Amino acid sequence: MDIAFLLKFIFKNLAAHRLRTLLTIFAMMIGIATIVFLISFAFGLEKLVTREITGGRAFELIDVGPTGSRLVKLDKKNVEKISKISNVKAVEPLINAGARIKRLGDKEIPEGIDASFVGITSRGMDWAGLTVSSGQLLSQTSYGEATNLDAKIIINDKLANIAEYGETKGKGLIGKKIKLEVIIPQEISKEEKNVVYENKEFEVIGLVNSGSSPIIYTNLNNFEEFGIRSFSQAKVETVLKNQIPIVRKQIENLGFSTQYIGEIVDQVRQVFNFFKAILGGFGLIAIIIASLGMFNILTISLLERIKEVALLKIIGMKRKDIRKIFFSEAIMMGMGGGVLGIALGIGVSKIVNQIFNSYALEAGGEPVVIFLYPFWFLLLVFIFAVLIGVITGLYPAIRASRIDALNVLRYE
Amino acid sequence: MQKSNFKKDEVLVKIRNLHKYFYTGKRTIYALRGVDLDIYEKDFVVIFGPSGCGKSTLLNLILGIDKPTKGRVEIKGVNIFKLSEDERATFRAQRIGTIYQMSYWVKSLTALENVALPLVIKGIKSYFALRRAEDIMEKMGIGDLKNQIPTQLSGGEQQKVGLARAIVVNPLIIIADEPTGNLDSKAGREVMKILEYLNKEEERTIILVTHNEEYWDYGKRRVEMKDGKIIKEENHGYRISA
Repeated sequence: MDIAFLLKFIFKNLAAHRLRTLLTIFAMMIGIATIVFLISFAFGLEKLVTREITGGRAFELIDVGPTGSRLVKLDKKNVEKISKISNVKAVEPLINAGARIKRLGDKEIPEGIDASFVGITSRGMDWAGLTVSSGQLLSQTSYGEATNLDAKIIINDKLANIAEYGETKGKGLIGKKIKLEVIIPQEISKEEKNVVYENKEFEVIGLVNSGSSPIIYTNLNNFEEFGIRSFSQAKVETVLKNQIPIVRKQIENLGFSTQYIGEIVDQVRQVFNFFKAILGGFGLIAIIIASLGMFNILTISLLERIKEVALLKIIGMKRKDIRKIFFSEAIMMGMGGGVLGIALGIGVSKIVNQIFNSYALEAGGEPVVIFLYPFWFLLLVFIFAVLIGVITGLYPAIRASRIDALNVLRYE
Repeated sequence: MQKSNFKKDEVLVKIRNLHKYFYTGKRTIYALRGVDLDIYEKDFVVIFGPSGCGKSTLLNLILGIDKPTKGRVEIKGVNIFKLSEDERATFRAQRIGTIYQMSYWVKSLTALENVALPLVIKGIKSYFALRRAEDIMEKMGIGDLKNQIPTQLSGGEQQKVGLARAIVVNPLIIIADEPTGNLDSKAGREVMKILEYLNKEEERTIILVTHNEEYWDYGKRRVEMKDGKIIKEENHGYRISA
């Protein structure tokens, strides 16, 4: 049968019962929109959470830390050992110390501001995804490189804010001196106790946008003068991502503890998959109700058109073509419901996101995206909608093709 | 039984020893009890008889929408009950045009689209199908009805559109089951005149079932049925009275 005529036939049939068709598509649309809305919410939350616990290239790195043993320290010798493990591409050590800021620019702070004081290499900064919002990054260094101590630091905006340097004022800090006490914790100190170095001066060269508490970053080598025995932690990059478990094992065999953010994220993902399944379940209930309605409508429409079907048979239409007509009508409604449902789901979630953000802004928070729609997910939803059309259309289509034309005429 | 005058023409429909029984609970209804009938090319057969004599059952068997209990129907040498249901449907689509007492319509389509429908089912592209349907309707003088919804037409108009649909595929045979049953006598005569025209001028084979005595004289042959059998067959060539 000519496809153009078939399509015309189907559209005219659907149009002949406009209200009924629209209501059926509407029900389907609500069901699909519910699924899109709920699951895109789960996607958005998942993204928010995983972004919060990761930054930069965290997914490709192993975190190595000391186990607390006095014998095995994460010192230069051991970092060297780790870097020689096969499939290890790079190792970047890191120092976490403390600082109490006494003077920031021209401003004396007698009570002091406590901050983390991080010694980091260039590649370490790159891995952490640190970028300056103004000023410049620390000079290129890698650990162990013989460089002059430069006494330069970058600070994060949280510190600038606390010190009452606002966004524009923070920029004013660049080039200014900062005076602080450096506190070296006992785990890394040569003296095996907390050591405080007073009245140290550094120059602020950049402002970064990271972290939720005050942080100061400086070149790892600047810690040379503070009697460091070992590093606080190290980050390890493997040649290939799938080598992470093996390399972890080997590092642990050297006596260190390791962590891989991917593992934590996997756990978070599992929780969210469960969450999605539950939300999807709610959506599914809506879909089931909608498809029962659709099934009902298709069956009624078949009963109404039983004479039409008998006529089509008598003038020679094959059963296959009769099936095609009813089937296509169901699929058409499924498709309509799918497309409109996806549009409605996205539309409503955008509005909800807007409302949420306007409240968040009022409360002094930052605008966030709490709904995400991966393309594959929308495609899947669309296929699902079409599939519902197929399933609900199956029985009426088969039944229509089996109508006994003679019986219809005889009992007319 | 009189012999047919049409022996020179080829036998189009050959019905042999046709039986059809219906089983309803304990009762068996013998609708057809051994019917033999030859229908020739360019024939116009009027089958008549009282209600329940088996006329419609016979038509349904010729159409192939029912199956006989016994016997066979051959159309152009093809035993139609050896075909599958879909093959019979295709056979119908290509060779037979039908018109009933009540016209059945696809309600969402216009009269023109309904007329074109058998062509589309036959596999003709809708553009050509619609053009041919339009030609036929114009020729039958019902061109002005083409954009109407058939169910909104009068009974007579509906039967004319129905006839257009029956002949649009250029069928070997037109089967008409009480086509005038629901019409007043004026509209009925109009429909009969069209059938007569189709037979005489276009040389189409027509099988007409009616119990209206007024139309018994149309056609070339008269077949009288009673209790599932043919009791009388008459030839009168052309109709003798208007």
